[in-house]
Amino acid sequence: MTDGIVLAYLGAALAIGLAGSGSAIGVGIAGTTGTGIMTEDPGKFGLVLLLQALPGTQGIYGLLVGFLVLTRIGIFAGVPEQLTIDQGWQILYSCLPIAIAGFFSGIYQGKTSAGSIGLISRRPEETGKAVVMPAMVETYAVLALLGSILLLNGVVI
Amino acid sequence: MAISKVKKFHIFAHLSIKEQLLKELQKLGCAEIIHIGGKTAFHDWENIDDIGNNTNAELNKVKFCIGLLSDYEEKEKKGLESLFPSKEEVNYETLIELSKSLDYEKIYKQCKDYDNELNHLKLQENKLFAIQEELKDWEELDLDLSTVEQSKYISYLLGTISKGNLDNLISESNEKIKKIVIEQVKEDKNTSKIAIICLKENTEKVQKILQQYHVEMYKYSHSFSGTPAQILEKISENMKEISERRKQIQIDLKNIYNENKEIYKIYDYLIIDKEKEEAISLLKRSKKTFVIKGWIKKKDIPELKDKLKENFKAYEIQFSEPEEDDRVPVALENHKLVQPFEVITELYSLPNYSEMDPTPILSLFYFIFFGLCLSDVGYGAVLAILCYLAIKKLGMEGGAKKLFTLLYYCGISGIFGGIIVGSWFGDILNYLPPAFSSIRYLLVDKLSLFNPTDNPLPLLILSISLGIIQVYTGIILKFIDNVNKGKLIDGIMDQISWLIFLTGIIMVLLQNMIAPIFGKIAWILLIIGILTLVTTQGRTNKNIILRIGSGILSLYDITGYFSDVLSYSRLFALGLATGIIATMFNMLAEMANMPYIGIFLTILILFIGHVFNLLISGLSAFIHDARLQYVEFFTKFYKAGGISFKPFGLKTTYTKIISKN
Repeated sequence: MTDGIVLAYLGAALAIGLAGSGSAIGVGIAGTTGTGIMTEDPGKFGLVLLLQALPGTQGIYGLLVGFLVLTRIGIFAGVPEQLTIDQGWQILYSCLPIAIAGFFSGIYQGKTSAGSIGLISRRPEETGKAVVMPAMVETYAVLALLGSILLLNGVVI
Repeated sequence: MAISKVKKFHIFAHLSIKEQLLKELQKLGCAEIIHIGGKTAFHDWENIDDIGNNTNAELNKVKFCIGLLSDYEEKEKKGLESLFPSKEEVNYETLIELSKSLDYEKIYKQCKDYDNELNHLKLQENKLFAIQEELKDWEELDLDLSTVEQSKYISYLLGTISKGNLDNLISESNEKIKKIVIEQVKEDKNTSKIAIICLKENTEKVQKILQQYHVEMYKYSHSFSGTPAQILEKISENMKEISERRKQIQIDLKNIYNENKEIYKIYDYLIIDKEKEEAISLLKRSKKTFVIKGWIKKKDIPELKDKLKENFKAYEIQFSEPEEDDRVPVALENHKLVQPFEVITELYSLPNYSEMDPTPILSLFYFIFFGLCLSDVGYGAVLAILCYLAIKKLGMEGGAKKLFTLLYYCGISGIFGGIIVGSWFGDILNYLPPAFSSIRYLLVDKLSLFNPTDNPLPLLILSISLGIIQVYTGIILKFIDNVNKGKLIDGIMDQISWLIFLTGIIMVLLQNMIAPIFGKIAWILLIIGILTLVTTQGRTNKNIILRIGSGILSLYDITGYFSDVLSYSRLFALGLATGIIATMFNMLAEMANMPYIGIFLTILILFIGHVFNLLISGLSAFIHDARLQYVEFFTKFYKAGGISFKPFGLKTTYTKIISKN
């Protein structure tokens, strides 16, 4: 194994771990509000669950980038590529957009989701708007995912 | 565009036919009745007070019965069908007859009695349970305390003492007080339950000593007699009686339910009645006549006229166009194919009556974008099939049917999306045995137009181009709107100049790819665009310098258009994500290739993984697609804020009203 691959591993780990943590915090924030609302009206379970799940996508994007890295460096094929240090750094940097933006957008999307849950508890007819608000935050996770994919695609191995 | 034209109507009629007329209107179900309002010719007319029967109270009674009885409903249907139960079809006339013939007051009384009894039993049971818990500690005390209580000379005390103190207590009280018996009834780890019997005259002294040793006193709080063991037996007998009685009540209630399923119909009848009463409260009357004001769709007017002519003589009806300050209700009216997409428009907000309905154009974009976001043949097919079955089998109606039809279309769109990127449950076709490789070749390599994992740029460019098209469409729609309102000049200055400017920018960016002559045109367009924008955007300012200044500032809006267009890159990213996650699960499933249980594990992973991915990707496709419409498209032209048209009709929960013939 070469040194480059260690950096690539770090990149994949950061993408999966940081984006996943952001989602976990976000889903947690939304969940706490959701359970509070459900003590009043347990019938809202479906909607609350939907809104709680919204900040969960960052974790998936992170996993996705991590998976792309692992495929790229040939882990699944059984024969890891010989990476130079430069290539390793390139892969590590490609992972950073989703790792960083995933972490922070997950948290803030969770807060927005919590707000939306509050909204549907008082005005159930505004569900459409409540669902779109958290998606505004998610935009930046999607853009970060796009950035990571494009950067990763540019790495020459 | 596709907003139903509505007209205002006033009906005047003699008070004697008020009920029948409203009943006919309700059966017709095409008119919305509204409040007459203060500043009209009718300002000195009175409200109608004799709204009559106490429907709300009756409704509450029936609601109570249904709440109690529905627990005894036999659940025959499973799963999805219980979510969308098929409604029994009834005739409105039979419903009215039923409400007269069925003595639901009696059912209510029965239910109320049983409910009271059940509550009472519950209360009693709780009480007994509490006593039982207390007495358990004293079970071994072989003394009927009620007889001691009646005695003239002796009294008893019960208490809990910590074990260390027990010996001291016994010795001290034996020393200080004559004739005292202290007996340990029960002991556990740290404490002892003790019974003390002494002469009545010594009671206070004994209590003082007990206080010194921190004895926690216990007093009976019930009216049973006998030794604790006997009492406990009695209690368990009583509890048994209670539970038997409860079982009997439950059987009775079940019988009541089975004999009186009609009560659901009564509920619907009362709901209809209540709606009618609410309508009556909107009317106004003079001495002998009353007036109804409302809205009706233009196309329903002949039907209303016919119905009224058929049934009544003493009435007068007038129609008028909506006036400027009226809050005109909005009903969307679209082609059958476009109709499901009204869901998306309604989620945002209905258009104003005077504006256009964006649904027809939105539907096309929504359909295409969803396909790109989901972009998997397998998922699209599963979604389409499930929704199709749901619509066919469950007999849905109204909003639910609209939503599922929308999802059905979305599924079909997902299939197309999947074909062009060559995604069939991710890369599952790669796992087919070599013999099928020609199928794989045909489906993936031949049919697909893009290969986003290896070369992402073409699909990304497609997404952005679609974005440019939609943003242009939005600007053009606003221009058309301005022209329709007679503001051609505004339209040219605000929209056309932007279109020229944007086109110029795009062409300049692409000038290496197009013929050189276009490169010159591009710069010309760009300059024309900038000049018109700088000179016109500040036209509301009188000061010439401020005017130019705000004109130049308006160029800054270009960042808005830039970010709008870039936002469409999500189409590409979400589509790619679906495919990669699916591929990931396929790979995981293949890794589970171990002897004996491998095949089950593989199937399990495939099933759970793909269901999960379908849910997550479907949800984000739905939401992000809607977001693109709302934030990037609607902001260019759409004026929301309409109120929905809610016709006065027969609204039911448990039954479906059919007309007589």
